[in-house]
Amino acid sequence: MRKAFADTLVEMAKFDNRLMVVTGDMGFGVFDEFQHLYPERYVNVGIAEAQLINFCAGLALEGFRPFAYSIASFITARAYEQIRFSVGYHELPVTIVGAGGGFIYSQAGPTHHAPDDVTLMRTIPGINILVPGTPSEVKALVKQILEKNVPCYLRLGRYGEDEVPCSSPIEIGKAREIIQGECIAICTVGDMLPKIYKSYQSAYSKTNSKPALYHFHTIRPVDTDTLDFIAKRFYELHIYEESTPNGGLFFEVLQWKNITGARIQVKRFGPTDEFVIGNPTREQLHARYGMNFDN
Amino acid sequence: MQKLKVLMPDQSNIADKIEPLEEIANRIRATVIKMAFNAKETHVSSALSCVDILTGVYGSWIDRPWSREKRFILSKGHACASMYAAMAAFGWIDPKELSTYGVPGSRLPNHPCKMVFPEIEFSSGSLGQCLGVATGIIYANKLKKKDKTYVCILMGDGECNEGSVWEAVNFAVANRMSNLFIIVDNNNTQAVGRHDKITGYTKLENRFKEFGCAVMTIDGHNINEIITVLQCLPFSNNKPSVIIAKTISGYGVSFIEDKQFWFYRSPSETDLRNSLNEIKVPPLI
Repeated sequence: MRKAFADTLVEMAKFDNRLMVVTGDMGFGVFDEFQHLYPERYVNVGIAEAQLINFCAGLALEGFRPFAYSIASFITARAYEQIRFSVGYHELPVTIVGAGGGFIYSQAGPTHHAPDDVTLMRTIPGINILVPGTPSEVKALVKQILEKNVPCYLRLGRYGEDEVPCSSPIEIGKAREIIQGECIAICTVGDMLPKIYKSYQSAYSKTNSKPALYHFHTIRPVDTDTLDFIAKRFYELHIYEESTPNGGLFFEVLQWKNITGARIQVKRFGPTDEFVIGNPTREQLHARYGMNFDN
Repeated sequence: MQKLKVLMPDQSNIADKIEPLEEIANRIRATVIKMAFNAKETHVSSALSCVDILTGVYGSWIDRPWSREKRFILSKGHACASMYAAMAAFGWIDPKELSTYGVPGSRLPNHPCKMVFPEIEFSSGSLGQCLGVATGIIYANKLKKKDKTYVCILMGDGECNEGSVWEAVNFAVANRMSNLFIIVDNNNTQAVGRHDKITGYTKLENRFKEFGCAVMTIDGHNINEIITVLQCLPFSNNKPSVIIAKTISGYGVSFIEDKQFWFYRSPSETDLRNSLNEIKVPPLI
């Protein structure tokens, strides 16, 4: 996803001279091409997350569209107040990019874990929250971010995520129907999509009755139309996401259920509310939290 | 002052400005107390310590209201009564509007808010944030080839405890932001203690110099020194300029000067009467 992200920025910067990349000394090799082509529009502020966000707020005040890039745990937690006050409160079109959200850096230890990145950002009124699952989603969403004029949080994966064949359009605020099905609607967030899709193919290749698969790349604004549709047609809604239980799609779905009174059973497959001590692999964590898709 | 005299430009126009600006500063002082009394607001001593600085900025540095070339940010936002009063004194807003200070729904809340007062550069109230924003404004204007855009930012000395300030200073120095002018209202009074004690009796001047800024220190209540040093800006063509303004919290009213509790106290009717008797000029409202 990072390559797709960097390539899209290079492509869009050709036509949109407001676009800037600002990093807190992260992203080794990621922005080499951007920096080479647009040296004045690439800024490394150093390991200074507060400065990263405040600087981007100043740029945005003057009409620029900065992408503030750092590791998800640092940029969302350490610079939370700057995002809340300088960006969110002023409704500035700064895109905060959290590389390695969830447990992508699981083996780097709890300082690098960010299952709470989306949860933290969700507390800021007005911020759009995007968690793409594939490189093609990253490309489409980044282009659409530039058409909007709002603060945005973009959680990015790493490299090598599989594409998932699907003709559903990729639009901010719209969930994607990946596979039609019945009884159960599986809902993935972020790179749970290629993972669950692959398991799904093995599990249901020879059966007629199978669950549907939906993908939510936008946590906020969450697609309540699709949730309403799911509530009418399915008995259960299963969520697979690397977010804390007090955030993510699960939180949005609970809110939606409370408001609409929808009668659908919701099951969540994600991390519990705890710090992860030690340096387990991501696969071990998925097994621990029941996030491996079982038929 | 020796060093200041070396930099001093032609003094003839400065001499004419001093007395009128001193008079305006006193009117702003009286107005701040009246505003705080009306609104039952606090932070009076913080507001009073920067009245003379703001008089110099609005009365001599910025050449016209809402200039896009000379921008001012009040980073020590809790002192905004002085900023609003200075705006009124120099014709940026109608003085009558000062009666709405602190009133719910007003354009003049007790911490500046760009969302209700879009003309100001940025909101403040969370200390240590605005300097980083100022660096973004300057960088953006450089990209737009507007090299004559200057940003002057007034911070408190306590505000300089914040790490985000030094992240911004580091960045400004690294990017040779000679268009950035930082004024520090060095009144040595923080919310719950003295600035010099909290910072281990180190000097702000030295800290900014070691970080790579061009620094001058002045008497923050001497209008002559204030407008002279503002005319000397920028002090360097490749460094941010910093003015350490030595001030007294609550300056101008003897029973408020240098009293910690006046950070939190709202003036009573008696305080108002006694203050105006000392200042001897009427408030704007």
